[in-house]
Amino acid sequence: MAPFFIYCSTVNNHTMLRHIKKIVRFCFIILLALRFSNYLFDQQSLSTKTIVIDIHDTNYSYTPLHCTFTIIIVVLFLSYYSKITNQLYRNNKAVNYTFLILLAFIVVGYSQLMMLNYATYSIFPTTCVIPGPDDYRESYLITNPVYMAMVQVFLISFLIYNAIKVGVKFKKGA
Amino acid sequence: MKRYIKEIVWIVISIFLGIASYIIISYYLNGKIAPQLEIPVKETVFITYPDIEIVTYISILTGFLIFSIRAFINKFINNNYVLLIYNLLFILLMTKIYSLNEMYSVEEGWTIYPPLSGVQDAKVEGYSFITSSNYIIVLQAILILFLIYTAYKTGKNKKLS
Repeated sequence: MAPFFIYCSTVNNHTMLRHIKKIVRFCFIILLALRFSNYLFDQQSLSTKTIVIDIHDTNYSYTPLHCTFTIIIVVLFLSYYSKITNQLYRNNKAVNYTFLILLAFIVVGYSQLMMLNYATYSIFPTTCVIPGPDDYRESYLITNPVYMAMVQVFLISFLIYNAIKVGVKFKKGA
Repeated sequence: MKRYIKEIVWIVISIFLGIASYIIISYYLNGKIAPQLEIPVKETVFITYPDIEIVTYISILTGFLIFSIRAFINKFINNNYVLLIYNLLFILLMTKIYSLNEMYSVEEGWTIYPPLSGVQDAKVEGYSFITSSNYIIVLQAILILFLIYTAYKTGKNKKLS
């Protein structure tokens, strides 16, 4: 706590209040994410080692930390997106850079989701064979991999668009 | 107009390099130009996608490398839209590689002799098809950061009308 009090004594009340507000908001997001992931996966306690999701008689395990981290990233991304559309934050370098980093996190996370969908896709056509010649059912964990790839292309294009926009904004002499 | 022709020439070169690489790999692995690559791994043979798909993947890789080198030489002064497109395609390709790696990796790992019932502390060795998925995620993250940097520089060097 000591560094915090030293910090508080060095800044004026207005700045301190602003920072405290930010910290409280961040803690609130984390708490909300924890509660949400807890509710979402119907777990009694977050102390459990894994969250098990049962899909098509197969169990997929995730750590609560993983789910919470994902929710935090998404919530922060939405919060920063609303910020960069606001005139007040348009010229703030830190806000713009953080937004790009959060978007990058989302693209990497989405790739993992695609992998999960694709890996399951490879298993199901062989296990869901319906009797009859050349007659089998294809099943996906989420949706067709092509649709998922289209969403990823959109996400990366959005990232490129925003990075170019930030570059133009902070152009020397602009 | 001259600039666009120059970019198209470089794209064609990268496609030709992709085809040449496929021919070399095909000769090296199968001793002939086959429509599908047969990759022997220990006692298993993996047959790849049709050649056009493999050539496309190799062309993406060569195109990405060529345009990256060009961008570094030019210090990102020129518009790098082709590099951005190649980078996008390469990120998608990495997702596919990541999926393949996860698909063929044995999650539980191989059990080394003696079997589990034989000993109390069995040694379980992890097995990955290509490499550990962590490396692929890190590589993809680096690619995305490079994409952000390229787009940022492109925006910064853009001429304001």
